[in-house]
Amino acid sequence: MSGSKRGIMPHIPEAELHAYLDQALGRLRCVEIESHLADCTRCRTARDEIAALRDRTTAMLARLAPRSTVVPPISDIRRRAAARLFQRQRVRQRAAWAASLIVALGLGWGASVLIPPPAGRSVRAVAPGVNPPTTVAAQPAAPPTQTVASTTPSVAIEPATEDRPDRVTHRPVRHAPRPVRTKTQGTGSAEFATVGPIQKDGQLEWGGMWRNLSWDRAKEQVGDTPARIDGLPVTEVQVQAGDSGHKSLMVVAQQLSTGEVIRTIEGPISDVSALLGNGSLQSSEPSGNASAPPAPAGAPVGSALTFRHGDRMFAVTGSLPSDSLRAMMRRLNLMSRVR
Amino acid sequence: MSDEFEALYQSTYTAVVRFLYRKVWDAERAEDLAQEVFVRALAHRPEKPRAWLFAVAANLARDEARAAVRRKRHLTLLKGDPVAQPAFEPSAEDQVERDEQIAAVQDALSALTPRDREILLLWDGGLSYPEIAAQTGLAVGAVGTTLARARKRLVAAHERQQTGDHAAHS
Repeated sequence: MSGSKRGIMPHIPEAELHAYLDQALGRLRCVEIESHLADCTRCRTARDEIAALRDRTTAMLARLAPRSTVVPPISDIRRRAAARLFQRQRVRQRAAWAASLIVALGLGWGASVLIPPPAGRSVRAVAPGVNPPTTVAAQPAAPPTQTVASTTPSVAIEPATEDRPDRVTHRPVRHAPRPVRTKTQGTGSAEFATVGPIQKDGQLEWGGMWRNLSWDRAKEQVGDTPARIDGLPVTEVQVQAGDSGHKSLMVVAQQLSTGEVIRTIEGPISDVSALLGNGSLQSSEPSGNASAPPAPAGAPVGSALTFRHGDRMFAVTGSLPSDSLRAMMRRLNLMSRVR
Repeated sequence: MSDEFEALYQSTYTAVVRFLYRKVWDAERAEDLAQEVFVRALAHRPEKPRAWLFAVAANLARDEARAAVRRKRHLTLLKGDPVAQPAFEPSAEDQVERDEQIAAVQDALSALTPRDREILLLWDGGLSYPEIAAQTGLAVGAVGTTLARARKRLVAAHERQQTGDHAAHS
C-alpha cells in the first residue's frame, strides 16, 4: 500500500475515519489508526477532507436552530410532572371503583351462568337484583376517556412512553378468540425460527380480550421485567389473560427513532404461533445462542423472529430487515429470563 | 436522582429543542415538545435517559408532523385565514439573506433519506454511536457508514441548490 512504510495495515475505510473523528472507536483502534496516519499521506488527506466535511455539516446544521433557547426553570417541569401524576392517580381511583362494580356484576353473573362464553364476545350480564340487564362488553376498568375501542387490529402507536392507567381494549375477533391449547410442550431446548411475512396486511392476528397495562403493572404481572428490547422506549404493553394455571400472553410494543414499531411477544408456544397467524415456522434449529438464527433469503418485511424455550415462545416482530430483527433479538433481556 | 435529572435537564434541554426544531420548524412548538419530553422523563425515569429523551422527542415530532398535515389540509379550506400566514418580519436585508440560507440548509436536509437524516440529527444532538444504534436499529458499525453518507449528501444537496440558485439569478 502506497504511503505505508510498514505495509501491514491497509488504508483506513472512509466510514472508520468518520468514526475516528467522531471519537467513536476504541482506544486500541485509535492507536492503530494514528500510527497508520503518521505514515500514510493518502489517509491523512482523506482524514483532513472528512474533518472539513464534518465541520461543514456541523456548521450547516448549527444554522437550523431557534434564535435563542432559554432553559425554563426545572421547577416548571417538576410541577407539570406532579400535576400529571395527580391526575393519573385520580383516573386510577375511578378505574378501581369501576372495576369493583364490574366484579360485583361478574359475581352475580357467575352465580347465574355455569359455563362461561368464549372470551372476546359480548357478555350479557344479568346480575340478580341488578336491573336493567347491563352489557359488560369489554369496557370495564376504565372511564370512557381512557377506553380505547380499537376498530383496527393494529396497536395504536403513541409517543407516550410513560405508563398509562390500565385500560381494557377489545380486539376484534378475526379468528378463534383464543387458540385451543395443544399439548406441544417444548423439549426444554431453546430454538430459533424465522417466521415469514406475518399476514398479508402485516398485522398480527389479534383476537380475544386484551388488556393494556402500565409498565409497572406488567412487571407485577410477570413477577419480573417483561421481555423487551433493552433501551427502547415502551409505547404499549398488552396482555391476554391466561386461563387459570396458564401464563399470560404479553405483547410489548417499542418504537425506534425512525418510527418503526417493534413488538416483543411472550407466551405459550401455541398462543404466540397463533398470534403470529402462522403455525408453520419456516425453519428452526436447536440453539442456545441468541446470535445464530437462520437467515431467510430475501429478508421479508414485517416478519418475526421467534425463540423457543421450553413451553414458552418469544417473538420479535417489526417491519425491519431480518438482520435488524436479529440485532433486536440480541438486545432482548432474554438470556436472563430463560435461565 | 433529582440532581442527576437536573444535570441531565440542564445539559440536554437545548439539544432536545434543537433536535425538535429541525423536525417541526417552529421554535415555540419545539420548546413545548421538549418540555413535554422532560415531564415524561421525570415520570418514567428511563434507564438510559439521554437516548430515551431523543427517542421520545422523535416520536412526539412525528405525531406533530401528522397533526400539522391535518391542520394544513384544514387551513387550505380557509383561504385568506390570517393563521395560515407565517409570523415573519422581513425587516433588514441581511435578515432575508439569513432566512434564505436557513431555507437552503433546510431543503438540503429534507433531500436526505429519513434514516440518514435521523442519524445525522441524533449525532448532532449529542448521542454516541451506540446510542444512535440503539435508537435506530442499526448496527453500531453501520452508524459511521450512514453518517459518512449523510454528511456527503447534505453538502452535495446544498451545493446543488447554491449552483441552481446562482443559475436562476444570473
